[in-house]
Amino acid sequence: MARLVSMQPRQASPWASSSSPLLPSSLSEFSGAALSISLQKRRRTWQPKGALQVTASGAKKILIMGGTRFIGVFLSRLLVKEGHQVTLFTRGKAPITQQLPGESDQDYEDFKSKAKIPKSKLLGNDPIHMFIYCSSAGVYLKSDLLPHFETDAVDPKSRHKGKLETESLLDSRGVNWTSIRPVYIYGPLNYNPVEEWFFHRLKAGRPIPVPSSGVQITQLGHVKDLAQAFVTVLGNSKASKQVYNISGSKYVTFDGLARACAKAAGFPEPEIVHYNPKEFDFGKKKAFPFRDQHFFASIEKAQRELGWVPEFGLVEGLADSYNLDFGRGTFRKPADFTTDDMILGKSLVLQS
Amino acid sequence: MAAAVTFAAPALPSLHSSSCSLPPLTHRSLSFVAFTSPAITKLSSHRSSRRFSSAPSTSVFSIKAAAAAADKKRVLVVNTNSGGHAVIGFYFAQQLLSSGHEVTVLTVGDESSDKMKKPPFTRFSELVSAGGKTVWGNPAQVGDIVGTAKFDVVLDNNGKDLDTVKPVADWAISAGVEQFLFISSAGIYKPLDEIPHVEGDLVKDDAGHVLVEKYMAGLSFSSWAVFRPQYMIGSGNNKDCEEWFFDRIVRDRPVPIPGSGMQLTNISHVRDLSSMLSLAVENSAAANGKIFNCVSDRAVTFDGLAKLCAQAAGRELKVIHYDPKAVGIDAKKAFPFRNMHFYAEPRAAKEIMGWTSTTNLPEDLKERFDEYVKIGRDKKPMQFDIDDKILESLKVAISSLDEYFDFLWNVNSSFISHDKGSRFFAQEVMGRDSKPKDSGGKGKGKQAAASDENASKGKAKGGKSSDGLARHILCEKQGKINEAYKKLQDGWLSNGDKVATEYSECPSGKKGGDLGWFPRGKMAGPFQDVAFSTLVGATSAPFKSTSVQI
Repeated sequence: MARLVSMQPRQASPWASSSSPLLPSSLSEFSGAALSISLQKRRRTWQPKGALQVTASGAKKILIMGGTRFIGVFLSRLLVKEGHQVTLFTRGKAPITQQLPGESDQDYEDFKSKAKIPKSKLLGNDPIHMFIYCSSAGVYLKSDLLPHFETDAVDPKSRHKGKLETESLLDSRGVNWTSIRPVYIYGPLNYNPVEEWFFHRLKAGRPIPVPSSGVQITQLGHVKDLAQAFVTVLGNSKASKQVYNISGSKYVTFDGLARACAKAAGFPEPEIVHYNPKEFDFGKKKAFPFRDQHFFASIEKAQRELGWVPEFGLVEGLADSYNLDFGRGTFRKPADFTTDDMILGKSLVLQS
Repeated sequence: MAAAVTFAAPALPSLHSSSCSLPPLTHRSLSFVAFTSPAITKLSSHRSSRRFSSAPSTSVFSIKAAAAAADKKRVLVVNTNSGGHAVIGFYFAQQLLSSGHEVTVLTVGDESSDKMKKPPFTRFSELVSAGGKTVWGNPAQVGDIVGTAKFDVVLDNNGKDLDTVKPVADWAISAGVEQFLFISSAGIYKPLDEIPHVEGDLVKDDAGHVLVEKYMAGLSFSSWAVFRPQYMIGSGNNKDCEEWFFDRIVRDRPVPIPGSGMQLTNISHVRDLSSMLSLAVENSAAANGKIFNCVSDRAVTFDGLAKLCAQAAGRELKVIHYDPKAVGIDAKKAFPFRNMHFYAEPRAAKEIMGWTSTTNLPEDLKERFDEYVKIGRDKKPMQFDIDDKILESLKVAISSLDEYFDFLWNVNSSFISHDKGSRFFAQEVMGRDSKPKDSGGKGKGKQAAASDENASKGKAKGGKSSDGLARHILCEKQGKINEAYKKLQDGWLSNGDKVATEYSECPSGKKGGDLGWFPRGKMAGPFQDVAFSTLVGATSAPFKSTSVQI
């Protein structure tokens, strides 16, 4: 039996020990609303691609911290299909379930109709078998030698040091943890303007301003592949106390990404304009959605140890995102071309 | 047993201390197996894991000893006599010999030729004393050269096209050779937006190596494999790689790097290549029909490599970026690597054969530098004609005042103008103000020429693309301007405005010498020339000016 439950948290949540720092401290009341989706289904033994066999250990009770906006939406679907009992713990106000882009009305109704109000509170007296943490490849110390491997030096001063601290905490608590470090995540429902930034400009027929030389290399990973990676880790003893980089199989230059977005969405090859970011003061606005440096990580460890393989190539993945989301006219943030105009208006651009 | 020791070098430079799955070891395989303690898989957190730490004390090295008689292979290496690839055959031969295989190296050409006076050929005696055979001749006559000798494996590390390899491959088939290996090139990959080059990616169909690869695939070898290498370092390598950087660094010369310096490339230690080849020999079934990118598993940027070389040499580094087209030089001659991302990953070797890379650039470069000094190359007199051409075109500011004037007089004496008929005879020092308020001290005099595409196009912030933004100090007397100039040695940004206020006889002195934006043509003669040719952020030397319009 699988259940999908979502609740607003309260301070004295029974499954969170008082010493756990992992609950956001700003939470207050238990709103009492809970939604439970049951799936009467025997758990299938999951057969991953590749040589490794995962021992099926039965349906699990899974708590997802978050899970209503992006990664978790896809992940919870996969987990429920696997027959697990999934609880979503959200701080936010997003609807507990939403129809996935591309999901048929029928499928969604099936999923949603199994909603039930649980008769009892979910109690957390059972020991936690596994803590899977969504960390970030942003923790790696910037380097001239690339790609980043899981054994590389990390940067304790990085913007993502909270992720590092959490990884240490998990390790020090003796928890059976696995940490997943994605690079840039993309796909339908993405609320971080990664592909959206390019699609806005392509739709508007505008040139794409890329900082410096445009040869900086980055890496995108599709959210569905990331969700699948989480599922692959689940119940896999090999993953215990391991860190895995999870992203796309290949990397791409900034210029190349602009072209890939155009190709994926059926636009003609875009005009790319390079500029020197040091010559501009954009204030608080971000003129480009990626960090201005090489940033990519090898996914070899996950492939080798877990048998996980990303399904989406870059152009296919961007097409998936466009066709199911941004190409339909949906977007998270409206287009803002202020910084573009600053750049283009100057006509002080580096010839490429 | 020299090679065995090499492979089991105590400092295990492998960056992957986490467990890596090893290929199933068949009874036929010979392998160098390194086991690291399982404890190493733990995440290190507060202390950031040292990137290239030496092998943890708990690691254990287990080396399977020499092959049993049944596993012994008779290997023929057809080796080039030139360029950077010769060293591959040498290392491969060494490794095979130390594993107990029989090796013959057929080098192209004559034993007595001048080419044999260079490494790695000068080390061929090592092969002979290890039990190998070395012969010379034309590969097209390989059958005649080796006579009735039988071989199980042939490596062609010579041909770049079908004409050269076909005779060898055809002979190998007729002679019953089981496994045929070919050193191709990663240069045949079509450059794409998505990186890295991975086995299976599109290649340039008309490339010589590609035709060879296709031909091999069509023959009936029990096993064939293709290896695509890139750039290598290692003792015996005849082609400049790291040496090019050392040459400049030890002579305190700036290192000119084309483009942004962020281009990525693979620099592998040649032992990585020979270990991959050896693994293919020992796993001929698994390697059959496969393409292997014969490279280490890390790429490095051009700038990064320069930094590592400087670190290895224990010297300071000065990098200058330039646009080869703007300077008018052939980047191929000016720089040892292709001016683009050229980055492949050895995914097939890892997946199919469980191969691991042991290249550790920071450590390897130290070793390379030691040898560089040992052979006396650091003292060797050298010309840097192309470098000089690049520097001249960028009008690099040299650190000391004397050097600078010498440089100017030699290079471009019109820099100093003479106008006896002038009404107002003045000396000036020009500085460019191009940095926005919050950027750091790039304006230091010594680095004035670094990475400035803008300089050659006279573009800067604020005005139109053709305008100049400058500050200047104006003095009637030469002595005074020289005195002011001496105070500007740390670059205008550090104290220039104060010096201007103190010394300048121009009303702009009160504003720290700021002249604001002015278009080309507004300012008179020499002032204009100097203003628009001084690099953005740099400070020109004193020059004589005519009546200056402000």
